[in-house]
Amino acid sequence: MKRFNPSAAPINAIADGLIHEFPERSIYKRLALGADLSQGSQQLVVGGIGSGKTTELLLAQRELAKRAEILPVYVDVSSVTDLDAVNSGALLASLGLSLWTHVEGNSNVPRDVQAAYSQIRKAAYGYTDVSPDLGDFDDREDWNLRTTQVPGKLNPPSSNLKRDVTDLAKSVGVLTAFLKDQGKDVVSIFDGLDRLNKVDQFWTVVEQDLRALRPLQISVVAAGPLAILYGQGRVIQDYFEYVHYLAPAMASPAKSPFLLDVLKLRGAGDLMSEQQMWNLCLASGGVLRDLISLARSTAESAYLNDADEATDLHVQKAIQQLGNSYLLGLGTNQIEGLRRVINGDGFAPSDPASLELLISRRVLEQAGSRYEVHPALRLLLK
Amino acid sequence: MIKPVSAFELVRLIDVESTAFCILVLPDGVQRVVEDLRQELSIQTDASLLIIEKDEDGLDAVFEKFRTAAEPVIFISGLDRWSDHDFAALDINRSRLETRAFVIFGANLETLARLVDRAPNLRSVIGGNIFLWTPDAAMMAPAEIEDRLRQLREHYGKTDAEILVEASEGTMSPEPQFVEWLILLGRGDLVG
Repeated sequence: MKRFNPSAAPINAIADGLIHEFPERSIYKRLALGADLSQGSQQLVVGGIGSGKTTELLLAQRELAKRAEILPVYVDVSSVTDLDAVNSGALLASLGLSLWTHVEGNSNVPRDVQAAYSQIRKAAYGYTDVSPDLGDFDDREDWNLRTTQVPGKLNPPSSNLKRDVTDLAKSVGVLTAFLKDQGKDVVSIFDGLDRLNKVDQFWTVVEQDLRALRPLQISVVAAGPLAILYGQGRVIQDYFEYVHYLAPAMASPAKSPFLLDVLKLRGAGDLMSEQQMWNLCLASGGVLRDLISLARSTAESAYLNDADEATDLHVQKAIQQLGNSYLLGLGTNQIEGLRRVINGDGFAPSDPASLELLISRRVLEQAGSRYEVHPALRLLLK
Repeated sequence: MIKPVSAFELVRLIDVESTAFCILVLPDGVQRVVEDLRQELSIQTDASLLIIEKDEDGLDAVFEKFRTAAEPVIFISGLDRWSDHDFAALDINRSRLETRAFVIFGANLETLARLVDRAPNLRSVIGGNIFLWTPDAAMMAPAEIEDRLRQLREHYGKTDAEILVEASEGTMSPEPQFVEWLILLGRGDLVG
């Protein structure tokens, strides 16, 4: 049953050989190639929740690590900082700390590199600044200066880089320059940023850091939220050299064997029939994590019934359970809206409420700008 | 209908899966559930249970408790006092909950709906692992079962026969207490 754990870290699934590489779907080779050939390029991987973005980033890291002259550095930003309260500089600080682990083993680390690391540490963890205590200054009136900020007449096309971010980037640059002297070009891979579901939230966190990384000529690959593909997110796409979209997989095994192969690789064939696996593929809507979750629920039901093999009822219950998880929390208006989509009235992610349905995967985007209600949810709404 | 599980069944899943997230819908007070769970864990496994609640120190303290937890099973209690923003923040920082423990979010139905709606990333890894806590009728004394059934009949003003008809016809309310009612009548087969 451990092979069907949707919360298992993808790095473990890769190590255990549970990842089915499907050339028509995988993008990691393109990510690696882009980072290698266009040094200093910035690439974004966008996709819905559970579409396999982390797996692709980790596979790209593995691919890049095969090249002796490249040092791919994977940073799960969400595991090292509170993304909900993050400030500009978090990406740089977490990258700097990761880079140091590759620097510190060298026998002679120059003082300027050590000093740069010290600055990165201070930026990452904070420090206490000691200022002179002015105390009872007799001529205080002389200090009673009034300053007024007069804004410039020309608004910059994008916000200026903050000084602390620029300083932090310089320190990171010292570390990358040292590593380059050792024959290693750094490629930074930032994961976890896709959890920032809203475009403005995402851009607030990453903009300053990504712009500060530009002059350092470090290739960047980052995960981003699905919302980047819609509305104001399209403007942000223009910032990146490449935007890779990880769409839901083709759910029907009749059209693509990918999902069926994923199940078989994880040993589902020992527990269920080919037809039952087909049903799980269809019910997943092509969302990889949902497929794994469906297989797990089926296996759980069989296990609790002390059955060696899954029955059709176990599969049916598993699909219901997943559908329930999508149904819970929906209001009457949302349910009515989803029923309209099921009835063929169409769907346009043009307003926040509709976008929310896409982000939460209750509605799935399909090829040709088509949208469909998640199949497991659709069964409960019919 | 949410899938019902007893303490016995949940601990069997914990034993075989070891690392996972699930939501446990609690029809009654959390104390009884925690006691049953602890008892069942001690019978089936040696696993200890850590209860985590958000206090005045906020979510940071919750994440810190996760980081330092040695217990293989973690039960997050008091979610009904969490704001929507808390759930969103939990969602963004989901990676910080990944400690190789089996994590149980205890919630009532209303809180469950808020949690899955405000935390889509977390909902995704939970998947279908949303369970309704039900008493293990096989472990209850007949008098205990009858006492609980009497409470349910009085509270809802319905008879056992009416509930069985509603369940058979698919018109029974999805409220957790009605599922519990069926379980106590030995008709868990009518659930869902």
